[in-house]
Amino acid sequence: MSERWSDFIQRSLMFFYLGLLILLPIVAITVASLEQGIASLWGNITTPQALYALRLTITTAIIMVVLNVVMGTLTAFVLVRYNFPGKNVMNALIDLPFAIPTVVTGIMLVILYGPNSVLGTMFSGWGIEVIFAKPGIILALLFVSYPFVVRAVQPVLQDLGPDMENAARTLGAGKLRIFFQVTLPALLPAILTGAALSFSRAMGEFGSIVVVAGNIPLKSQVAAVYIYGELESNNPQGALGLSVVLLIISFLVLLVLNFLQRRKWQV
Amino acid sequence: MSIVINNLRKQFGHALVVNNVSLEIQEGELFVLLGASGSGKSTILRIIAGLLEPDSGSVTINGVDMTHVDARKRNVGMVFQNYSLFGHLTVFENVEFGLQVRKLPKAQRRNRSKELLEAVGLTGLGHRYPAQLSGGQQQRVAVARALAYNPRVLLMDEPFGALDVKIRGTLRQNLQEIQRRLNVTTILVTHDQEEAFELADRIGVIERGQLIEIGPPDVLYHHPKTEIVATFIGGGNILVGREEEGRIRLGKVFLPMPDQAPLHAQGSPVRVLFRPETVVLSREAFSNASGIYPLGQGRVLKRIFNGPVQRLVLEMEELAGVRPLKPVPRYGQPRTRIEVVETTTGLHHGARFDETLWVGVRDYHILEPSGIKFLVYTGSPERNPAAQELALHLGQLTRGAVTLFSVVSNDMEMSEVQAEMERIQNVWQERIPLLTTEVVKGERHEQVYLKTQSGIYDILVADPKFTGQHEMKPALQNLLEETLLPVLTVSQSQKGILHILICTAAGEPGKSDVQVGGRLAMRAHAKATVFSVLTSPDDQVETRRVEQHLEQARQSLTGLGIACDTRLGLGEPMAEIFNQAAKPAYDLVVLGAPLPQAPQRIHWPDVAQRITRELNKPVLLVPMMTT
Repeated sequence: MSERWSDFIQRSLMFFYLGLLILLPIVAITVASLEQGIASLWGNITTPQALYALRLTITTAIIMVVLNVVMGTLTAFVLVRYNFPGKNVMNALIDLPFAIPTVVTGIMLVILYGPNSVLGTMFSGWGIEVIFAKPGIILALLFVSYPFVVRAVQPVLQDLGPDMENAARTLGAGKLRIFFQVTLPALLPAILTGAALSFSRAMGEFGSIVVVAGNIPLKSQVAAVYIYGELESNNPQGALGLSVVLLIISFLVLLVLNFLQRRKWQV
Repeated sequence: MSIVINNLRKQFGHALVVNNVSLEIQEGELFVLLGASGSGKSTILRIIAGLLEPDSGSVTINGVDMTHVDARKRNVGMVFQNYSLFGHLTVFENVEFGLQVRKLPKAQRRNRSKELLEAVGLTGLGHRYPAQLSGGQQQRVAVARALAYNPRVLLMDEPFGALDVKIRGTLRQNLQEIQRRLNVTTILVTHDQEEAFELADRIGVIERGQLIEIGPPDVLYHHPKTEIVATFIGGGNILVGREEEGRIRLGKVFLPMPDQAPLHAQGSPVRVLFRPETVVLSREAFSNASGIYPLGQGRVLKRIFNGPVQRLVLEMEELAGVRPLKPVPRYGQPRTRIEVVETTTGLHHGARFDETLWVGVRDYHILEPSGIKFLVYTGSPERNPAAQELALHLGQLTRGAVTLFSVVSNDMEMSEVQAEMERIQNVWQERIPLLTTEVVKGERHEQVYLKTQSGIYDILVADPKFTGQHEMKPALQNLLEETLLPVLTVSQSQKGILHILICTAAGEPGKSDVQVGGRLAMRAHAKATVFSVLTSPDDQVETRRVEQHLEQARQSLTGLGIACDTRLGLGEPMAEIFNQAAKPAYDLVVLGAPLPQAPQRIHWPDVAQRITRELNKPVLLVPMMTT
């Protein structure tokens, strides 16, 4: 009897906490955004400036996710499959982007690629703008979300061990076939998790981007920065519109991920 | 010959995991590699599969050298310990993987996989995913997958290891049936002796990377050659007796030496194996006609009822003082114990607790004489390490046992010497599996003497100065007289032993110098030269006697498989022996030393001292009693 009670209390506490911490703010912002009606909300979302910011956020996020998936998986492979001096240091280094304030990330990138830096002048010599442009945003996003894919894939790869690939080898499969038919499918759920988390993170990234890309409407203004700008210019309704859109996108991505992971062959 | 592996060697870092393994497996045979975990058996399997490349040696499958061929080209089926099924593929797709690689059309693939799933008893489960199957079912999918493309060879790494004991039995039978039906040459790796017995056509027992013995299960059980196999497989009693005039002496009991027993030198230790079920218990003494070899009387110490059988432990009065290797004696246990298994039909006749019964054996088996056992008196660390080094090299060369023995006088020395011993142990453990070290506190002379009297050792290796006397002569003389063990001395470190000079005199009792030297040459794969000196060449009788003696020595050494020749010197024995020993070909000199030292004869420790000091060659002095 008492056990059932403790179960009940445990569950209620968790629901209460989740509701208070996550659900309640979401409800609040949704209600607030609808205060002046759906048409007004739609109008706020479809201003050219807002649409541009949204498009910029999504395109840079997608480019970042593709790069991150490839490089993060590669990193996980190197960390799991090889032994080399300095491996522990490298392993620790990977989590660093989580630890430093994102504004600092922005500053580091500006110092490195800014107009007066060596790299910056080199790139601008080739006609590529890094700071206050898309490449800067992508660099910042890559930096802050690097750990997601690595840390999702690494433990799965560790558990997988080499024997599944060895089995495929004894069955006659070549390296490419082993990778695409055996290893990659086994890692796919983990890679998707990493990708989805990186993408959601990119939707909301503010600190590093505001430093690297500034706040130039219709050029380098991403959604989060746009929302901040609207708030600053005393237009909370404008801020709310895009906020709700970001919220929905992130939620959908995570929902799809959850669905994808519930496949038959997952124990 | 379906699979031939030759002199396989594999090292991981400093660890020698596979040590010179050679093996031939017949077409259609089910061969089991049996060994404890970490013995190197899985590594051998992976080398055969092509997943690992050996450091040296070769793998031939169906007559084709596969040593450097990649796993994917070997056409070998392998079942992994945790099956390693592809989790994202269905059972069908798993089984068809190898066929898909071989570009078989889809319809044919499906037919073949249905056929195989039926063979392993999984009909109808083809569309499931591995995670939806039980462990036993997963194992059978792995077997079907490995067999799909008709490989000539099937390799299995502990295929039953991850399963419940209950279903192992059924799956074993299942596997054996499939293997017989498809007649596929199979190597199975396991640590489970019962599994090996049940499945194997032949078993190879592997320990520390070495293949110790190969044979059918019943031969390995009843007639093992080595102590390792005798103790690893099945329960049993192994007692160490001594050869005495063609018989085996076990305490007060004598057993005849069986005709097929391996050759034992006079007075050498004989290891007698008898399994618990061959022991017969009786309330009356055995008659001569019973065909049972009596071992005297024993008292029942322990009785465990097991259903069909009862297991007993008996304490044997008449076997007191006999050293048992198995069951392992408890510390301070005064009497020899033996294990007995008897059926429990008509239990009222069966043995009862504390009862004293007559004990006999229906059958017993003699193990092959073991490798040479060296006892090394190491002295304290700052001493000349040449003797110790030579012993370690010889131990490795002869695959013998080496015990490093040190005597210290106080605790501080104790920890210092122990640390040194540990260091040596770490360095040499891989090369000499039977290396042990021992440090005791006490008086040197007495402790070394006690140690040599345990009857285990064949050769004592000592720094000649070990008694603390600066003169080596009296020390050597004392050692020989007191221990009656062959003593190996050396003053400078020596590497290989390729050629041994055995100096012998005609008519020496027991000819044990030739025997001991021959045994060393045989184990070290060294050449031997037997040398004798003729003092008076005019004496026809003596000349004939010496020539005959040399010829006999040559024949018996050749019989042991040693490359051997003879030499005859003329003149004064001590000078002749020294001159012969001075020839650079010889790496070690064996001298027979008659005891007690007769005043008119050559003083052998003198010769030994000259050879070690002036020629820097190791000398093995073999004591020979002239009663």
